[in-house]
Amino acid sequence: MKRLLGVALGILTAIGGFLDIGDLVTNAVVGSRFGLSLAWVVVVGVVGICLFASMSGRVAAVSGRATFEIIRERLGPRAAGANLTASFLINLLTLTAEVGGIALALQLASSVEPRLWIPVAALALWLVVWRTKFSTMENVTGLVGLTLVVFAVAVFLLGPDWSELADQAFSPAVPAAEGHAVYWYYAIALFGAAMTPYEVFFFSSGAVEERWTVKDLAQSRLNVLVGFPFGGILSIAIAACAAIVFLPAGIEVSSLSQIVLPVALAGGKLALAVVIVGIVAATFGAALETSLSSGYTLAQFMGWSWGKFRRPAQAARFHLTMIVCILVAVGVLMTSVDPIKVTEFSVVFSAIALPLTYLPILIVANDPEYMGEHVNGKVTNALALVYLVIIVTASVAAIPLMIATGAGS
Amino acid sequence: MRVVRVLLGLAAVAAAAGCAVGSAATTVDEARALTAPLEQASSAVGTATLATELLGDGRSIAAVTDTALLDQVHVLEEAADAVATFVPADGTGAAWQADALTAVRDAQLAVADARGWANGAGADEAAVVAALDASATALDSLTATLDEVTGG
Amino acid sequence: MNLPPDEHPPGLVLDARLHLLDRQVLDVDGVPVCTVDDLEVHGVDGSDLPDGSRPAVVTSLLSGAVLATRVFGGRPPSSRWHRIRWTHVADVGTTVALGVRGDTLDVTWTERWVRDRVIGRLPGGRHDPG
Repeated sequence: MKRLLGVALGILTAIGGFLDIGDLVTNAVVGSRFGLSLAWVVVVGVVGICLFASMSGRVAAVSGRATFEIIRERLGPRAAGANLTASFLINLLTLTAEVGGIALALQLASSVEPRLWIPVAALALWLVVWRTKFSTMENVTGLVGLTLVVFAVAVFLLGPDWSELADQAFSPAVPAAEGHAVYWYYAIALFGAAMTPYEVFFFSSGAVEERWTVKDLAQSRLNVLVGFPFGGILSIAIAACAAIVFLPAGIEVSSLSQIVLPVALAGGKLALAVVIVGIVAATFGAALETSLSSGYTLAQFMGWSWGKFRRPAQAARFHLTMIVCILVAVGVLMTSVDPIKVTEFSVVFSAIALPLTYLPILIVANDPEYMGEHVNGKVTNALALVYLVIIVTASVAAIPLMIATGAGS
Repeated sequence: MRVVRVLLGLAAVAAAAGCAVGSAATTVDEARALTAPLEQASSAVGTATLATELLGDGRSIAAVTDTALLDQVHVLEEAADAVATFVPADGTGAAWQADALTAVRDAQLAVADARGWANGAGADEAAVVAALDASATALDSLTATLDEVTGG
Repeated sequence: MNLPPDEHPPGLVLDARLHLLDRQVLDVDGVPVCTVDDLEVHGVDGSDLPDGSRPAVVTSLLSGAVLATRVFGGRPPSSRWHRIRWTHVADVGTTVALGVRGDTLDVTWTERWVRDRVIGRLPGGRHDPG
């Protein structure tokens, strides 16, 4: 019974932890402009993150070594240093977006302006990073984040024209009002939102934090392979809500307050309260994961002591890194930059940086010195190569498309 | 090397020519340039109407509607800015710009009123929604006029 | 050119570049200490600059704030280097394991400095996360 509960908890937290501000914003924007015609990208992204996360979880569980230790060891200081710089900066950008997302969600609950919420959110974030146990942190934010299921419920309550939605999803076409370049730009953004690299740093370091061994591999694979696809369904539900309510009215989503309106329309005040709680939990959980990821990546690259299972004094530089990153995020947000804009950039840059983490993980997952008998099988490698092509293509195409479309405007 | 230099020179000339064409915009280009902010404005008014009606029906809470309306005030500000900084080439363009500016300003007024109502300041829901609807109609008809010119 | 025949001596063969450089160093309790940035090699006769013609041994692992010179080239001032004596190395696998505590080594001075000046002074910094 206890074992079953453990399995259920793992899967539920994986679902609840899947969504972050990037998924919320990108899916709603895409839904309002393209309907469900980009839903296929979410499917491609979810399969990719399942593959990628289960590979890095396996590497961490078998070798006990987290991603960036391995990247440095395999690529040497020069290439790994460039990789670290890019990954660290994009992670910082994502952290900024998540903290901004918490503030925007709290604004929805209080109509107090976000700039007043930002320091509060950052302090709460640091206190949890500083004092809470890793597993408690993961389980609480994951389970509360599950309330975002209300988006899926809202789709049914809105009573949409199902055949039209299915038509958009299964025979995707670029809507008349939008250009091809914009369509592909948002395809890359959506792909970056689903496959955010920080999830991989976090997943592999989390496996070390929770002291996974080969015995836990089955559980971790189950969490990923069941949890993430359900998370992907929630992503599509967010896009569907926007597609049902906003697309016919010609409304373009540009703020978090718009994202919750379809839920209010479908389920009234109760659903609205639930979705706000869910957004706070999802962004707060993701902010925790990105703060920790900033510490993980730098500490692992430099060979410092790291981990939340240690007392802060036993991983001093790791904790100092996180404090500095949270302060930088607060500083950036206090300039009144629009967190939604930061989010839109962070998902595209995530897509650009993906090959940097994906390729080293793929190489090490095939290295018998680290993995022994647990190296990638033939099927995994075949799929991994297909994704390597997709990831590199998206990464290369992202910047030209961003310039050509004026970042999707 | 020489070929590269010639090509670079040609590219520079082409770019300059492109800019020159850009400033001597045709009527179609002008109509198109005004359509974008008008669509943005009508998206904002649509959102504001939805947020207001949800609060009126008791399906939304005041904080969410207030935030949604505030966000739309910012969107309209952007749209008004785009219309106001537009430089028309002839009388037709100038007339369109004046109409667009009036329509966007009316939208700003309607959304600001709605926000006042959401926060409990006078007016009644019916009047606020009617003003938003009128603003939406005005924006749509102006967009339709411009669409006829662009053929879009 | 005649290359010497490839010998396969019994036992573990370590390639310094492949198996030592940039490996994570862990102390006796499994706490990360640093990564290996370079090696100090002495001739068995005690000479400082072995030229490869005579047998030589690794005497120390070197680490320190030398990332900049490793990335951009050049030689760091010798004050940047911290030595971990090879006699402290207990095992070389996917990590280099030491037989001593990391806190006793010079190379962890920045960690101790941050702990004593910053992190240890914040409330709760010396307690287990609860």
